[in-house]
Amino acid sequence: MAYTANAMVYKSAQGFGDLPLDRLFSDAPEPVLGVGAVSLLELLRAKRLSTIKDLVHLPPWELRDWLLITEEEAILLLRKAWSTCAVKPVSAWELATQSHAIPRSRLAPLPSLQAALGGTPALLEVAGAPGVGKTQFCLHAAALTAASGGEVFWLDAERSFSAQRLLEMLEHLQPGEVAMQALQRVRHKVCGSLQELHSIVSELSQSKAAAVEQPALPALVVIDSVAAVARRESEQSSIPRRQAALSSLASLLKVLVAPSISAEAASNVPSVVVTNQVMGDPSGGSAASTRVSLGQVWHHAVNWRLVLSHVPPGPTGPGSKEQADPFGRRYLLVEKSPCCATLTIPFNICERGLKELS
Amino acid sequence: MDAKLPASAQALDVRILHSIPTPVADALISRGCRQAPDVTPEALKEVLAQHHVAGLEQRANSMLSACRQEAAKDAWRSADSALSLLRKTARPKVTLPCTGLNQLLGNALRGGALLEVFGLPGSGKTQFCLQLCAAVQIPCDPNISIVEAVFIDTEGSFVPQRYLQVCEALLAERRPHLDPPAAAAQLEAVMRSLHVCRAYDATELYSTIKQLGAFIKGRRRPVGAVVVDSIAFSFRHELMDNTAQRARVLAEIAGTLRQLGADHDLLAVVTNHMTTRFGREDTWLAPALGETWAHQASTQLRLEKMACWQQPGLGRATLTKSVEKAACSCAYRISHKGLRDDGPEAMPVDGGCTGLAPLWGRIA
Repeated sequence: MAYTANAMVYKSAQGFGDLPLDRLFSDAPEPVLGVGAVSLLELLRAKRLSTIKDLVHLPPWELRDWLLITEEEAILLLRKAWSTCAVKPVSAWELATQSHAIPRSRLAPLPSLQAALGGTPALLEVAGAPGVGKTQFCLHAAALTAASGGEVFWLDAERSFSAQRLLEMLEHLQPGEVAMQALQRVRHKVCGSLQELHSIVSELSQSKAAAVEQPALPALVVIDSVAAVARRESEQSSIPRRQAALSSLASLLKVLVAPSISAEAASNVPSVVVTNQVMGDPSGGSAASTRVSLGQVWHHAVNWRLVLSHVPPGPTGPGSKEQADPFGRRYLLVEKSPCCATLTIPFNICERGLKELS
Repeated sequence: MDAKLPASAQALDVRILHSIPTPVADALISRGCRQAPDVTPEALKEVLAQHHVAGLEQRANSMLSACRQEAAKDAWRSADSALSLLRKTARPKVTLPCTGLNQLLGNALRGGALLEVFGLPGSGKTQFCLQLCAAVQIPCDPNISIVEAVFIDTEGSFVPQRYLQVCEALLAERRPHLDPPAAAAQLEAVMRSLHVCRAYDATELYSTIKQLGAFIKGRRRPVGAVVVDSIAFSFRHELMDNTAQRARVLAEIAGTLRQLGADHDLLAVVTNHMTTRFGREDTWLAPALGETWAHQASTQLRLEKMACWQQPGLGRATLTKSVEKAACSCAYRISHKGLRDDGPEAMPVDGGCTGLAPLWGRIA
């Protein structure tokens, strides 16, 4: 069984597939199957294969025809490439004990939600009608994270960030000078396009992989909102291209929140909160039905989806502001989750942020 | 050096042999060696010398012996009769705790064929996979020991605490006579026997599946299932420009999974996404990854969440493609125990979450 030692660390966004081919044969200078390593590399380069990924996807019969060897020998050569890129299996018990050992992150504003999340870093999506409280949710989560000492990276696409409101929430948690210090830990960046968002997130995930020098990864990354950047994109490019870009963004975000095996880097894994909008659903039965935007691909890609609504969850979907309860009662529904049953939490918004109602 | 060809060797055409590369085969045909028994060492050495191959003797010998081995396989006489196949499949291997799904899937829960599960987000595909792994690992018959399983996760939806919950509930049902310390030891053994691979892109997924054969051979206990959740995620943004290569990679993956299923008698299950297809006036939902992939699975199961706000967790499973049964469906319920029948027991509306906290006493 030839799993390489490199496969012990969880892969970065770059992965072994993008490494050049000479890395594969550098540790075996003696001839492989009667073919010298150098001449093999030259032949593969002449056939326009440059990275390990190209060799992985090469069919064995093609390698057999180029090198004039039998198909079993070609498969043996390809096994070198496959074993470099393959993932080493970890038992479920080890995963459970590791996730138990890392310090819990406390970012959810509502206690029932915190209990459901369990404290492991996750990719959370918050969706809802306009004005229901998605940005308030994110501000409250940022306040909780900053107050407990973590850094927050806020990527703003809707220009809805308010430092004043964040300070108000922080002062309820820790009054005075401490609140001002916590405010310094929140960094804000305006994001104009999906491309920019993509490059920022891939930069973050690559700095996570470079675990040699301790990277100062933020404890929480907020993207408010993905729908705003994606909508801007759809004017220029086609829908399948946009869906592919969203899927690749989701994949990068998942690399970011993935747990790492080594103990020191384990506490450095950020949580990500992403907001999304809802739109009217003309194909639905009643005129008032709405659904979350960005399509099927994004819906499949997120692991946790929280839907905030003005009306209790029901067949008509999240309501609009006009149908809201006069006392400001709103509902948070855990619509999609890998480990929790669907849960409805009533809450309202006050000066300290979101408050759970019984 | 020169293996004697058995009398019953097949007269295979030289071009279809796996061990002879195509340029060599074409040169052999031009010399008159059309079939496998006609290939002589001298002709082979001449052809290889023409192509300026290094290490001529060694190469010719290995190619010749591989060619003889291929020709000596007797495909017709070594095939199973349909009666012996029927006797083998009389008892399905894996029993799910949900009887409706058992009846639906029936013989699809045996090794060798590929089962595809698709559904909208949140319909319960990952929960189905977890329940299936638990059912494979903890057999109904108490005399059979724990079976191993492999879970390949491309989406990050495997939560070990949830699997712990599902296994604990199934152990309580299938091994009720165990006392608490023995049950905890069994639970730990089950969790240690599930191997999780987190693949982040299509290349890692492909390489991991190709290397699984070697991994499974190295395990001491038999491996009962290989589950890929989900195969569609990486392919929806990678290899989008080259659909021919995407189709070929997917076909390779399906072929390797089927081969693993047949060789080691294990279940191969794959989860798929859904996509919107556009017709002339209307749109409809279909499984993702295209028409070519749709041919690969021999059984397809669709999971749908029933939008029932008073009873969350209710779902409907429909068999959309099967060799043995007509299209039919059954209901299931996802609870903190996993996937069960939609029975008369009432579920509390927001139950299930608080169950996770007391389990921490078992670990550490």
